[in-house]
Amino acid sequence: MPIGQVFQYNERNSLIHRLDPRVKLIWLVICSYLGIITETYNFIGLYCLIAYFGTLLAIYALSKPSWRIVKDHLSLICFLMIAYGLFMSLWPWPDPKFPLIALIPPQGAWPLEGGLFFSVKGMFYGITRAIKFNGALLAGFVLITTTPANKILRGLEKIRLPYKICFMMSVAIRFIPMFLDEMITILDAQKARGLDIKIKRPDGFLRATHIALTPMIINSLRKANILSLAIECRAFDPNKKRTDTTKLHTERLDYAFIAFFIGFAIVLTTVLLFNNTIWSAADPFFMSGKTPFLD
Amino acid sequence: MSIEIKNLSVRYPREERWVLYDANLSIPRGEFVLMSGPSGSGKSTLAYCLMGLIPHSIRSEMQGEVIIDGLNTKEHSVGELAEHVGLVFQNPDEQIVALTVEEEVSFGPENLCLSVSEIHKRVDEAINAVGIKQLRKRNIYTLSGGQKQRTAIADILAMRPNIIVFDEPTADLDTVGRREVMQEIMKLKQEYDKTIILIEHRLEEPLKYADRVILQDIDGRIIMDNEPHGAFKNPQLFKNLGIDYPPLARIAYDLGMDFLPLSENELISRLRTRMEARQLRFTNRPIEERKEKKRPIISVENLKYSYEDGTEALRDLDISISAGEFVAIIGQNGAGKSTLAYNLVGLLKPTSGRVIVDGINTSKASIPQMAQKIGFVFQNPDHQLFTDRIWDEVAFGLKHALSLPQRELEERTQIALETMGLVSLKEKHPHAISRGQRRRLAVATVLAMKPKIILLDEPTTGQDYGHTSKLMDLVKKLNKTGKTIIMITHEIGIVAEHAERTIVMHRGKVLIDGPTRKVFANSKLLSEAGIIAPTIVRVSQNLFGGKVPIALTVEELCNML
Repeated sequence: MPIGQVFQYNERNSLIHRLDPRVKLIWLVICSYLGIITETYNFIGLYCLIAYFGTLLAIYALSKPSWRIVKDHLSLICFLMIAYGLFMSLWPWPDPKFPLIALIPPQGAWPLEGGLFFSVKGMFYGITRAIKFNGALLAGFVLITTTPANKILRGLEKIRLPYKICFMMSVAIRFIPMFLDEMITILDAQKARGLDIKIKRPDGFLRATHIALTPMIINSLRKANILSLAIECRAFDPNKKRTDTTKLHTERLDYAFIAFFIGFAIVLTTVLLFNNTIWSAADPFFMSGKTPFLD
Repeated sequence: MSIEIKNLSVRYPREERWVLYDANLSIPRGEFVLMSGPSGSGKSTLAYCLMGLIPHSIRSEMQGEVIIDGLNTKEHSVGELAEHVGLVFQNPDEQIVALTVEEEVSFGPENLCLSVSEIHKRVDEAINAVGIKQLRKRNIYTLSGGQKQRTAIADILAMRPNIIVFDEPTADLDTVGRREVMQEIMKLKQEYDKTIILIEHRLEEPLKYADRVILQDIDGRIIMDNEPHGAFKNPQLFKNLGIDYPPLARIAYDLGMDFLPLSENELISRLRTRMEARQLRFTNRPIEERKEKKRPIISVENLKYSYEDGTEALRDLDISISAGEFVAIIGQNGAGKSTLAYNLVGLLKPTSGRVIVDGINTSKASIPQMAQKIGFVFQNPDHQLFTDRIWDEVAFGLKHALSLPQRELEERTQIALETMGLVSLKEKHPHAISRGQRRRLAVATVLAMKPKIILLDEPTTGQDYGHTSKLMDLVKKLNKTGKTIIMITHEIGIVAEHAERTIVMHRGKVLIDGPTRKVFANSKLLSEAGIIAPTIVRVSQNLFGGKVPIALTVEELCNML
């Protein structure tokens, strides 16, 4: 999957594009919070998760992403969901309705002398967990694809993130495409010299990275050195005050948007608190493995 | 005086040699000074001194004084000096900090803590001055090289300095980018009365505008400071220093003219006057044409290539290259030259059509197989040097791709190092040698694989005249030993001098393909491709019209007169 496109600003005329970046940043924080508190021990928890993820999908659709970007985002989200589901399915949950399927029978060799089992309940648990955290990821995609990087940084600056950090982030974002291009050229140069590395295989990837590291580091240091001189030539001093020329405008739409999500967060938190699903002191690590469908 | 330099010497830590030695200069306001010298002669160091980066930011030992607009650089910080002097670096990509053009240009004035209205005023002025108003909201990453460099110039203009120093501002640009940037620099002098210090290796274009030419030698000394007409009276000095001696001056010198022309028109009118006075006569000596070689070693048949995003980079290309040919591929950025090169070496596979290299279809060939057929020298040698020792670097491909026995590996490595004159450096780290040497090392790594074809991508970028001619001599030598040479370049003068055949690409297609002489004679198609013919070609066309074959080199032109 082309990594660049997943994290690229996508110029469109949508409601979400017009929002103040600060509003979108606060919204991202709210979404991450809701992702953390939503638990799916029972049906109420599951409905909350559906409401949370459904709202996010609606906002995602309102941002009018191109089909190409949707494909990239969906494949990443599905991959995480399946990977986490499969990983959790290997956890041997006690489950009377769905007995564990032994992939490796017990009394095998170390370290799997206890055997390796596939658990349906674990799979369900993994998928719901992945949906919880994919919510924050989806919100992140909306933020990145609807807001140019410079506006995100301005937003961060306005919500009082120290300028030094914002400047470092801005320079890093500015140089990412250049470093990606450089990395690709170096890998091509390796191939042109006859080195047939299968980059998609983990061992090939590690080998290619190892070889590319020397030129990458040397070139990065050279560039960093020139850049530091260039910004000094333009009177930059991170410890001095500077003029801020960017004005971010907050309009009615921004207030409505944020009010809706704060309200939504309050409602969801209340329901979940009432349902006694968050801060479950009795079972903080989900050791009983309760699920709405299977128990 | 705008700039006063008194007994300035600079050396860097752990180095005995003074990189700049006992420099004395006085430059009045509004002067355009052209500075040149071989690599390592301290030109950039002088620029850093003017900007105050030496002694404030770069660790070094500095003796003497630099006074900028009455301010001693030792007593004022770089930030304070930034309102009096600005520095534009060689590579725009390395000096731009912000994500959009507007933010980038306002970055400097914001640092000066000016009012918002003043910053907007300065940004408007700077952007209009370099003609990038329409790019104001654009993301930096989407700009061409020339547009980025113009943005970098606007950055400096927004600081409103009286003095602007340009450190090889056109070295990394194509012909169109170079033209754009040189025009902007000229405008700064003519319309804004700025003092301009231009550090350059290629002197022909800026010479027209310069008030003064200063040369530095490899010991960091200023060895010549003269007005342009007087500066080019001693071609031997330029040859010894390894600095470009512009073709216009070479023609005048070779024909024994007492006046050295600075522009093409000046030379043509002088030559015409002499021809009319019968001091010169057109002899129309036949120019020897090279014989066409027969056996095709590369066949490109109906090649199409489209990138993942649907961009059609190559369209219906048919090219046949014979063994032993020296072919140049030219064209503007985005014409498809690099995509063609990547298809030739097998790094990209055709979307349709096929590429046959020495009997092998690149679509079916493995990477090690292709590396033995065709060697690819990348534009930036640093991209293809991976190991910690020069010997290992040359042996890298032999060891990893060909798995040769130790004896043959050593033999081939030794021969490649000898051919490129790098044997004495074989124990050094590849990144510890000079850029010119790294370029030769990159060629050596390719040679060791014994390919029949060598493909060079912009081999002369960022190199001084001395290193360029040494490299081209080596490439010619390789061509004489039977290697097929394919060279992608923006240096039209080098193409005219060395390539026997030229392919001009435009929008993914071959626009002209033929002997270099015939290609450069077709000024109509060249201009369609956005290419300006070399000076010698233009002069010879102007003098003789289309009646005789055009001259490609100074020697040929002088022989015709």
